[in-house]
Formats: sequence, C-alpha cells, structure tokens
Amino acid sequence: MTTSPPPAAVITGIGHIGPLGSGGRDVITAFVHANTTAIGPLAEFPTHRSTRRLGALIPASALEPTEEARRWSRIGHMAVTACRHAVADAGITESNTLHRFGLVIGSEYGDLQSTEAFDAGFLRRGPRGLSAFLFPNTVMNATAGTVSIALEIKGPMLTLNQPGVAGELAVARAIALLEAGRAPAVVACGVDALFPILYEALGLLNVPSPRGGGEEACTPFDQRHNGPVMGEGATAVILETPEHAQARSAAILAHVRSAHWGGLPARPYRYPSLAQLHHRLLDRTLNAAAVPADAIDVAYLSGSGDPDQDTIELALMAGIFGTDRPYITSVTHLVGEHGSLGALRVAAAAMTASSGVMPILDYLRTPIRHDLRFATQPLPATPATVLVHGVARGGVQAALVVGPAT
Amino acid sequence: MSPLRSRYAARDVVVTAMGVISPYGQGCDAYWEGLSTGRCALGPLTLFPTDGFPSNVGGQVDADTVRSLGSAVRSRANRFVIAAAEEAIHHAGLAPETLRDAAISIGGAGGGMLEAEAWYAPYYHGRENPRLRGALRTMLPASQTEALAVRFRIEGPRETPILACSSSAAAIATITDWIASGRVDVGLAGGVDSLTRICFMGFNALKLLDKRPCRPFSQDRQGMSISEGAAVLVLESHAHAAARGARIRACVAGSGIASDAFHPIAPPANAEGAVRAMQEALTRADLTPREMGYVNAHGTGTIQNDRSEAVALEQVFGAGNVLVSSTKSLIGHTMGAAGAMEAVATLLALEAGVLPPTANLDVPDPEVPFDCIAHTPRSNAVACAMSNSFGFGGQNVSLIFRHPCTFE
Repeated sequence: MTTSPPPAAVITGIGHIGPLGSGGRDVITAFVHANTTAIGPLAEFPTHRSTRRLGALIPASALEPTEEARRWSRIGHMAVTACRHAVADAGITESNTLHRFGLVIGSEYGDLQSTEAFDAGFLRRGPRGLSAFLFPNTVMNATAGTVSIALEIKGPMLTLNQPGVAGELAVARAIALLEAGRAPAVVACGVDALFPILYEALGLLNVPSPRGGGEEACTPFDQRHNGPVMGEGATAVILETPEHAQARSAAILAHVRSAHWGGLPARPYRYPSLAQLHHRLLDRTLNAAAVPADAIDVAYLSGSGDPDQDTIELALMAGIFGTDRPYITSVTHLVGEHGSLGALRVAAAAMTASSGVMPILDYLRTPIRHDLRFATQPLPATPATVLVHGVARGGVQAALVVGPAT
Repeated sequence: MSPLRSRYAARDVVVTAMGVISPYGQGCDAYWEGLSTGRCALGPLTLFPTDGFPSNVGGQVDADTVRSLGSAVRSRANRFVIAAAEEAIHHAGLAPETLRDAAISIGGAGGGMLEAEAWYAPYYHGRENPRLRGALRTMLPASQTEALAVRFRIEGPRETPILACSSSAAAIATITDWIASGRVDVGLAGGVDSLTRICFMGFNALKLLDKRPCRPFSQDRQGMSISEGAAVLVLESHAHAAARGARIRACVAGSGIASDAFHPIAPPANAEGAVRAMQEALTRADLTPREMGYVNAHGTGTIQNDRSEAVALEQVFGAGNVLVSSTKSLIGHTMGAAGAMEAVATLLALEAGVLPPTANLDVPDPEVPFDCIAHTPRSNAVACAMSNSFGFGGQNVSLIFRHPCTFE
C-alpha cells in the first residue's frame, strides 16, 4: 500500500478582480460557469494609435475611489482588492493573523503606467514636471508595498517580474517560501493592468491578434488563432502549510500537491522551438505529486492564442499524456491575456478540484491537434485532479498539480 | 578566528565564485582594489544630460569597460550581468551539464529602462523610431535573467525578484533556500542595474541626492549617490562543492527577510522590520549578535535610512558592539544590484581580513553609535559578517556570511 505525500500547500482562499467581476470563490465560479467572455472593443481608452481594437478591461466602477484608495496606483488598487477578497474568502478576520504571512506578487509589467506618466511629466515640462509622488511607483515592488501596508503583512515580501507565467510563478514561489519555513502562510497574487502605452507598444511589437492577418479574436488552440487579445486583472490565492490551516481551523478549498518551474531552451523573447522541447519539468511535477499522468482529469494551459505558444504547449501535453488525455482548458477566452493570468488559472483549478466547474472552450471549431481532448463540454465527474501549466516567451515553464481537499 | 562550528552539513550553502561589474571596472580584482584602498569612485554623471537637476553626482561604469562587455545589441544592464556571470562561472569552473540544471535568481529594479527611455521620448512626441523598438523586448528586469539562461543554457528554476534596493540580496536568500531545501544543488544569484534617466530624475524629484559624493553616517550628509553595476555569485550545496573539489569562498550562514508594512518609501522610526530581518538571519545562522564582526550597512546617506538603520543595529547588536561601514560611499547606490555587490564586498572583506571604509565620513553623526570605519580600511580578521539591504516598499533583507575557517 502506498500513501500520498503531504500536499506542498493547501489553498484556503481565493480572490479576484477582473473584467468579469470582483470577489471570492463565488465570483470566479460564477463566471467560469457562465462561460461568457469579457472581450470586446475597447471603449475605456482611445485605441487610435494602435491597429488593434479588442481587449478586456475592469469596469471603472469596480475600483471604487475610496479615501484609502486615493493613495494607490490603479494596479495597486487592483492587487489590494484581490488580496482582500482572498483574505475574506479564507475566513481571516483578524488583521494580526496576517502579520506573519508572506506576500508574493507576480507581474509582467508592474506599474509601467506610472513610469510612463512620470517620464511624460519630464518630456512635457522638464525637471519641473517630475512628480515625486509617482516616482516610487516606477519600481515594480510598489504594488507589493501597497498590499503589505493595506493588509498589514509583515513577513517576507517578493515581487517577481516574469512574462507569461508570473501568476503560476507567484503561487509556486509562495509554496517555496512555506517550504523554506519563511512564513506559515502566504498571499500569492498575480496582477497586470492594461493601459494605452502598453496596448500600443504590444501592437507595435506585433504581439496581439490579428498577427499575420485574419480576424482579431481570442481563439486559443484553434486553427484561427493569430495572437492573444489583451486583458487585465488580479487574482490572489491564500496558501498555507497544512498545519497552519488546521491550527486556525480553516476550511481547505484544495491541495497543491506539487509546484515546479524552470526553463526550456529558447531564444530571447521567443517561445521554445518544437525541436528542443522536453517534459522533464512536467515529469518532476507529477512525480513530486505522486500522481500518474492518467490521474490528471483537467489541464489548465496558458492558451493565450499565440500560435507558437499553443503549438508547443499542446506538444508538451501530447508528450506527457499520450492517450491518457485530460480535458484541456484555459481561461483566456473569458478575460483576455495578461502575464499574470496564471494566478486565475490556479484559482479556477482549485474550483475545478473542489466543485468540478471548468471553462468550456465553446469557440473551438477546428483544434490545431486532434490527438488531445479539449474541454468542449462540462466535466462529467467531480472532484478532479488538475494540472496547471504555463510557458512563456524566453522559455520559462511552470507546472502545478492541484487536487481536491482530502 | 572564532566562533568555530562543527563540520559542514551536506546542504549548507557555500559561495564558490563571484563576478562583478562596478564603477571601478570589470572584475572582482578591480572591485576589491578600489574598496580596500578606500578610493571613492563617485563623480559627475555623463551617461545622459543632467542639466537642470540639483545633483549630477553618482557612480558610472566607464565607457571603455562598457565597450569591452560584448555585444552592444544587448541592453547596458544585460551586458553588465552577463559579464559578471561569465567571471563567476569561469572562476567556479562549472561544467555545462552542471549549469543546465542550475537555478538563477537575478534581482533588479530598472531593467533595460535606459534603452526604453530612448524609444519613448520620440514616441511621446509622435515620432516613433522603429529601429529603437527592440528596446521594448529587453525593458523588463526579467530579460536579464533570461539573458543569462540563454547565454549559459540554463534550464533550472529561475526568477527575477524586484524588492527595490533589496532585490539582489533577496536573490541570494532565495537561491540559498532552494539549495538548502534540495530543490537544486547549484545556483547563480545576483543583481544588476544600470543607470537610467528615470531613476536619476526620480531621486532628484524626491530630493534624496547629495550634490557631493554621498556621506553615509556623516552628520552633514545630504543624501545618496546613484550608481550602477552587477554582481553574480555561484552558490552550491557544500556536498556538491566538495564533490567537485571547488574552492569554498564562504558559507551563506543565514538570511532574513521581513517587511515594514509602514510607508511606501520611508522606514519606521523604530526600524522593526530591519530588526526582524537581522534577527531572523542570526537565528538561521545559529549565531549570537556578539559573534558578528562586521556589518556592511545599507548606508545610503539619507537621513531617514541612516538613522533608522542605526536604531536597528543598536537594537540587535548594542551600541558600538560591531564594526559598520557603507561601501555605497565608495561606489554609490547601485539600486537592485546593491545587495549582491555589497554581499561580494562583504565576502572579499572576510577573505582578506580587511574591512572597507566609509568614505567621506568627516563628521560622524552622534546618533549613529558605531565605529563606521571612516576613510581608511581596517585590518581586522572577522569570522562572520552581515550585509544589510533595505528598500522602498518596506523591504528588509539581511545576509550573514561565515569565513570557511570557522568550520572545523
């Protein structure tokens, strides 16, 4: 008789703010269940300097301009909102409980909006146009600082800059902090905002859909895929050691059975090539979780709609799962792509593990591979064991196994 | 030397090599020559126009050194960090197959913003230059970690921690954790930042730059001096280093990481976050405050930082009970690279038995009750030393290193 290793961490709370809502597990469950997309023509800011028109933004009304929030940047406001939802979702009511917590923020672009505003002040008016108030936000950890002050988190605080998989990395690093005994619990948050200069710059770099022609749309894994449609959001996950969660009698939403990350060979700013792919990291992640490939029911992938990313990620899945095919899904078609979306994938995976709800890829007409099983109908059974996987430009790869609380 | 400790444990983390780019030039030898002679490398900045700003003093890697650092296609920061890593890897003698599974953690703050600024200015004025667009691809600090992974074909876990001025100290703590927990056997830890116009303008806007070379712990200090550079350390488990016969330069005995949760840019007067970081490092190192011989202070030269750090040091060590200096007085504040560059300074001081001085310290601040090694290096063979890094956002990281001779 074999026994499963203890979970690397337990998830006790999730919080989110994005184009489809703001709240805890109920909000995420609701929009995953509804499977409606927030992607549409952008009306919140002018797009005339870009050749793209689509996106998914948080409604202005969702970020209430409270007295406290006046001191925060927009992305700081997003992160605080998501983290507070997660803390409430975890049933933490005493602020001093959070003093010993750690905090990990994952972000691709941080508060680049403030950086641009700061520099624009100089270009407009010279040294007199510089804002001492804006400058601290130009350092990417300002968002974490804002969250730590708002929530009174005094343990280790990390901000991780990472394209593509900043969200998964935040969660995995939070688990590494638990493993190292740096904190008994950690708030992990992925956050990225969308704003005009970023939208325009990504367009100039020909990153978003419709790269190479075709219709501008978000169609991951489909023959029509031609790049991501950009979105924004913040998702926070409360991770605890099993002992800490038990000591405070927390309700456990899901287990993270293992979390690993590493790099695949890739050229700068490129996805790995098919010729250089290997699945050592996936093997290690499944082995550490003591979960055989055929026990994975669902796989949440980056699924941004970038053809290169879709191709290699599905090749990795085919390589690791063979004919033992989990349902492949993604959340990008719901809320658009951003570099820290992986935190939402982890949160959604926790809901899949606990209640079976799963995004349906209803836009899928002709998948780019026919030897894999895509989530085109609801999951037939619960609870589920879920793989969350992401791969980024530059080759960084992250994988986590999320299972039901046992 | 004391304190002695029993043998290394297999997963004790040791430093086996280092590499540096600094305002003194390329390499650890140039770096230590400058630090150990107390030569201040600060002066007028020439990398970009500074007209109209109150202060233009800082540290800068000279143009000849930069030209020697490989492809100019790369961002200035990427050239720095690759050169520092090349030195470290060369001296470590790591085989490519060992490097493949190594971890990387390279802290930073500004990334390739210097080049992105050059793209943005004409874009802002409606005259975008497509030839400068490539700068957007190396703008993020993560591009520096990626550059190392690509250059050395490293596939292990990697990350780019951003903790403002504590970034690269956190990188060292991170790799230490991963080795100690068995995630990896080898890792590259360090940091890099190049000067950027935004950083220069920002600290001017905050009125935190001294018009003269900075004077940490001096009664008449007027602020800091910004600077640039990179440092990369090769860290290994002792078992791994011993098995391949590597020279052990020092042991990473402990580290502490704590947050203030107080103010976006100011430390609390009681410095309780800094105190917790130092105490955690001491606990993890299994050392008492009395066993610490030297502290390489964060020591920026701002009144807020210096006073707060002095309060923290006094709480942890007691007034006058440890030697303290700030190497920022010699090379300036290298932002995200500072933690790693000062860790290297601390390690070189342990090795040489010479403590670098605090330059420009003519009138010691009476509220800093420590011997801050004014002007002149001090011969003093210490067994254990601490390097402190504190950053905007309330980020406190303390590292403790032990001389290899302290192991039986």
